[in-house]
Amino acid sequence: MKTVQNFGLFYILFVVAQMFICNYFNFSMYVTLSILPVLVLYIPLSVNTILTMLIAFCTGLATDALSDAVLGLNALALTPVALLRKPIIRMVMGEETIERQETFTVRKNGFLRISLAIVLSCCIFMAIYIIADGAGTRPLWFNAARFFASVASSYLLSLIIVKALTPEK
Amino acid sequence: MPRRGNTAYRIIIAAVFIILEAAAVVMLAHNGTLQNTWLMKGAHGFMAAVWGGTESVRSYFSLRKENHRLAEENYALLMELQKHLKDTQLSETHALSDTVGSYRFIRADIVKMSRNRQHNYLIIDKGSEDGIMPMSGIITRHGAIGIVDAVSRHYSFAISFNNLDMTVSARLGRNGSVGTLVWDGTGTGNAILREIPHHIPVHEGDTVFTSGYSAIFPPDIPLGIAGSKQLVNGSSFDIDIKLFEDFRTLRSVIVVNNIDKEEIEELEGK
Repeated sequence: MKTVQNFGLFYILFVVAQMFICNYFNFSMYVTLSILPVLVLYIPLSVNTILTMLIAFCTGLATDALSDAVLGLNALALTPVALLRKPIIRMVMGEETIERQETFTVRKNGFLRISLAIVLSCCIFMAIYIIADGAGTRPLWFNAARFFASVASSYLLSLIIVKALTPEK
Repeated sequence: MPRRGNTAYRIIIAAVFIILEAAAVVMLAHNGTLQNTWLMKGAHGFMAAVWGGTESVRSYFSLRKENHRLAEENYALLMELQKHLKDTQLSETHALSDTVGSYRFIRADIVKMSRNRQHNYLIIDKGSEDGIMPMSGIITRHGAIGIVDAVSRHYSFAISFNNLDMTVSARLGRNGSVGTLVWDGTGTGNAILREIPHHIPVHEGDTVFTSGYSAIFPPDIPLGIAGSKQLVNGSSFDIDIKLFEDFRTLRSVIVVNNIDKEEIEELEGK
């Protein structure tokens, strides 16, 4: 990902992919696959928080509108990820990454740090998504099982996205 | 780009976040039946908590007014009770009927009260203009509080029951033996009933009432509950009494004047 324009192109492509995932890849009621948190996490750091939140909100809304999810569900869960994107990066990668506004990669920052950032963003997204989707009708154990299964599967899928977003020579 | 740490910028971020989340919630409520029910339930719970909290705060600030209203109501009920007692006793037995009929009651609030001394006192907001006379009793429905010592136009100074110099004539049970109730000098809630003959059966938990023999306090005001007893000089019991009235929370009292007191004292003098 060399430029913001390139990222924009990839971003749109992956959002369309997410719509396909929502419509055709429903493996189990316990698993919700989403690559949206990692997409928001990888929005260039030169983009400020307000714009990131607007992008995340619109992305969530578009995904809801073009898939069978309840309108507003993805938008509700994705906006907090955008809000907490910089604090997560600051906590995991360090202040320097934020100040330099550089893209974080596995080679530069390490696999563990990248994984931790992805898992944290997935956790925020899935916690809100699963609670709002269940709307108080499902038992805690079900929500907990769905949360862990969804975070794990989304994390694995997100690693592929990271590979595509940050090709390393 | 605004500087990090800029408070205004952070407020704008928070505002944008809240607006976006609110928009998402509204959309969710309009498009999902389950979500709509869930959010409505949450909203109603929140509103109930807010209204409940507001009501609690309002109740707290109106406690003083409510206390005053309850004191007035208590006083009115006590007057009503005295009237009924008089009627009942007149029709059933002639005993005590005159005693009940000879007391006049005046409601008062405590202006000042000492609690930490060996000779405690209290000042009430009624004086000679309200009909208070020296040597009037001060009572509540749960005890004898003191005796008026000095009176000005609008206030009265009284010796508290929590005073080592004060004694109250008390009866163990409604028809039991009469002794002298004195403060034990330690806590505001304890007293000692003295001079109970040793042949009188005393049980822990017996109620102690005013005897009505003193011409200051009317009879049958419950004062406290009997506790342990000690034999004194081989002839009488001293009984520990747990008082009903909590002197620490006392606010309103009733001053009682015995209308026949002068006549009784005159007779005693002969």
